[in-house]
Amino acid sequence: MQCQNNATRIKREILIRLLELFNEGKLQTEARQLPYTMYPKGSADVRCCIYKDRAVSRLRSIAALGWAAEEDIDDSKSLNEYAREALERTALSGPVMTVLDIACQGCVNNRYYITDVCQGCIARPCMVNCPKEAISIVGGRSIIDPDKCIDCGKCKSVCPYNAVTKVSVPCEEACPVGAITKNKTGQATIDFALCISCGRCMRSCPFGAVMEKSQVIDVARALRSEKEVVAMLAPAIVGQFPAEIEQIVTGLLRLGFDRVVEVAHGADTTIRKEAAEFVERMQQGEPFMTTSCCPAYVQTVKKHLPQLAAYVSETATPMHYTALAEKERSAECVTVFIGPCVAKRQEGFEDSCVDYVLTFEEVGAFFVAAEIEVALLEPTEFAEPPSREGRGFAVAGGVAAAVAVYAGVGAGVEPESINGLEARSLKKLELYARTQHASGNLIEVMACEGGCVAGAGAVAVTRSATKAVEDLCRVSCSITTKP
Amino acid sequence: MKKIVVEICLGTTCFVMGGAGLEDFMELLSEAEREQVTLKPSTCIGLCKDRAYGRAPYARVDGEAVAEATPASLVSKIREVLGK
Repeated sequence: MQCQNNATRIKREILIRLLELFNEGKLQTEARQLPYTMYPKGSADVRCCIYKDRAVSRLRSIAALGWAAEEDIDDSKSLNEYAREALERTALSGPVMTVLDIACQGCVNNRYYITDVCQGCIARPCMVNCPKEAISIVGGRSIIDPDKCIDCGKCKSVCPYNAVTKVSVPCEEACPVGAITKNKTGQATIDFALCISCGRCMRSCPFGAVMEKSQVIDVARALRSEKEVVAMLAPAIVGQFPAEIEQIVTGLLRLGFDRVVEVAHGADTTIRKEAAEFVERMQQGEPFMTTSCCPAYVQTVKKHLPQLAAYVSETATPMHYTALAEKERSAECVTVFIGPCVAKRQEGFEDSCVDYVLTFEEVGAFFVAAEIEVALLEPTEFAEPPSREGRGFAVAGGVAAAVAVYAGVGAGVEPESINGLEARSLKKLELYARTQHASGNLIEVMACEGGCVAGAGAVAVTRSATKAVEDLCRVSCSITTKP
Repeated sequence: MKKIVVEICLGTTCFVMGGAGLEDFMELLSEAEREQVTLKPSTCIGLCKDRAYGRAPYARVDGEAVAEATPASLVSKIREVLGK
């Protein structure tokens, strides 16, 4: 499921409405009206009734204001109060993801189920092939005994009528590390000791019951302040809005950012340092090195594959180098990373150089609330464009390819791409650590399949976003020929 | 034969509210249908200006507005026009 669905639309609408209220100076006096504006008396229900729709949109607003829905113990607390606290806070901290308990449908457990398409045939391949004798015939139809079933799926693969279906819990299916499970009451909860903040549960939930704690209000406040606010644009930005990257720069300046820089410059630093680190590690006889720019992967290693930690590059991320350069230029500036990634917000919480992290979706909400038509803006040129390789970080394979190009043919880079974290790729990485041997010697790991362009906070569809990044790379200079 | 013009709004509001994936409707059409359709990306067509974001993204099929457009709803609108 990509970003285009109603759950995403509702979430974006809330971000837009909150930012509008902020722009009008009415956030802490009118935020409480938002559920009623969205679901006025007499409007059609989305869920069971209008009261539930309003209650869910109140919780969505709490998350959009930057607070954890889990901490909303007193549900008579007004959104005005939440808004006031958001306008007064000095910082946000992790975890990034939050589950809206009342929005959660409490999906039935993952299991195989035989539908009434079953013809009760005499071949009975489901029964014959079931390794646990979990299937019996009752009233001329197969049924599965859930106590015996081990979810192997054999019955589904052998049924000639496709009568067997797998009922799944989308968030549990999507989570690559088993961090989201249903609690005793059947509602999804995230174990933050396991969560890698990849945002896949958020994108997969058909009820939009998982959200991220947003920093839009914090950024909106910074933009109104006297401080210099710097927008740091991730390489995946091209193709995210119906405009050229130079027009997006103009749009950001209109929003009140004082300066716009491309994170691909930071990526250039990452490439140089990571290439040097690779050469050094290989000289010391290490079997392989993995990249370190994907924050969800770095969290995965920390929480699930500590035995792999020694092989992860110690080079910092493009976001860090970009923010560091800005803070060195002006210690007083406010740095705002703008990217497709939810896990970057967690990384931002832990990096003192990064003040805030916005997703493309949130920047889109800023544009809409300020009525900025990006397609009609004049372009603002970058003084010094970054390299083709730095911009290529946004697409899977791009990071390892960049390091290989910079290290040169003599370095003997054999890139391998782990494109998307899931059970199988995690097993592969575990094997690499255990055997101290991998198929390549430079392993690029991207938590999202397709790379950053497929991140949970993206606006554009992955296919067109990938093409836009590749097109921009084609007209950019290589890092090897740049002065 | 005059082709059916499908205008997809690429205004910021529509794009952010889901217009980014609308062009996929072309893949849902049969080859014969596709030949009768011209896709025309358009800058903001102004329909969102009543601030009802919940109704974006917008598109126009043969001049007729489609609110809360999805690739599937565009296809059914196109078929409706073709059947006339």
